[in-house]
Amino acid sequence: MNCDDVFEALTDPAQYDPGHASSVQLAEHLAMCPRCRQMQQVLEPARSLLCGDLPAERVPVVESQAEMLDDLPPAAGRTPVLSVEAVGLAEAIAAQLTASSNGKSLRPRHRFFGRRFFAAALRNAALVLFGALAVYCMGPRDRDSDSVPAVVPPVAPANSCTRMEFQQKGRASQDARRVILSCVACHLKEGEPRNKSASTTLFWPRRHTATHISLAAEAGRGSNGARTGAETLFS
Amino acid sequence: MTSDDSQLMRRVQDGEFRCFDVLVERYRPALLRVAAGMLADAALAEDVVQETFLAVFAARHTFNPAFHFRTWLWTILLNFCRRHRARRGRQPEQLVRSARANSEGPAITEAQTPETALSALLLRERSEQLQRLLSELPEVQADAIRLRFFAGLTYHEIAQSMGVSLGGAKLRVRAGLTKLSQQFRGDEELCDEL
Repeated sequence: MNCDDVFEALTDPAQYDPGHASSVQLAEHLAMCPRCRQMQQVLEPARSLLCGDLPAERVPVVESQAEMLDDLPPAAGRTPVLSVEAVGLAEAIAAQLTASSNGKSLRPRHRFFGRRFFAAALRNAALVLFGALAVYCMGPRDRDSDSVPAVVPPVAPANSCTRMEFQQKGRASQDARRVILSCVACHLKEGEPRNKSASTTLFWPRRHTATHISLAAEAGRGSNGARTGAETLFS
Repeated sequence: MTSDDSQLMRRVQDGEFRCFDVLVERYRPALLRVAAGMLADAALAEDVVQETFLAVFAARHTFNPAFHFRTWLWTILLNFCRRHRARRGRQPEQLVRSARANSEGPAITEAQTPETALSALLLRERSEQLQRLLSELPEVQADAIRLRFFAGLTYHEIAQSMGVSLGGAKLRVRAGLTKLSQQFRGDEELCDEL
């Protein structure tokens, strides 16, 4: 006997037994289940009120039809009229109960399955959409940072610091690689920073990859083909 | 009992109208009590119960053994009671005189001994208290309790009758019983204070 069965037993007027559990199974369950015990205590006043009195009215006993007809009270001058509306209501209820009886095992399951299926489809669609959005947003950025561009962008002139220019103009769209390459070209040309005040910790990227080094060496080559500081450093 | 009901209705459908008397005998007292409790008027309850049986008889061709006769009968009665109550308005403050007190139950004046008179008085007070507390509940919860405790319907039949799921029917009965217990305790405490 589970908790659901206990609830049905507690609310079954035929099994009402004041003060005692009506069955051994019910008593055993109540002894070990505090929730059902609490429910029994909560419902007990109503149970006693509903089941504790007027037992004869719940179990109608009429000996004969003649006695039943004698028991019928006088209608006090009123004769109940059977209306078309009343018959229609009875027929409608019969149709509703017939439909409910025929579909009682399938309808809830179908509705439940339909809701579950719709929720799962919606969840999967949201996941696919989110994944596609993530790939779209993160994919190109990663490719740009990891791949080597086919054509190296033109390096800024050696006498102008692109980083300072970047800070002064506040151009957020300035390419970071361009700034770094210009720094390399500027600071390593003579083997030491030209502008000591511009020396920063951002002098060299921390990730020393072959791509960066080759780019730096290429950027450090002057326009006259002279060996630059970068080439000296990495040779 | 329900299979007998179906067999009896089958015979009624086949033209044995006397079989319908057995169904009337079987269900009339319980229907009267519930109707009297819902309508707070014993005479009107008599009319509604008779109208229910007449409607069932007139619509006997629509009965289907796929559902229980008592589910059909009680659903019709509840609908008629709701319709009458909606017409004249709800009167919870009106003193309830149950059908039993008027027609079936032992009248106090007929009591042979003081003990029986006292028990009859207590019985009537208890019945009136129950109907008053039920009238203070939400309608669907009170109807679910009536169907469960007075009509003896199973939860599946209650769900069919009220057009809700099985869990919904149990929830209505449980919520109604919980409120009924609280109200009953409140009444008891009030009596103790007095």
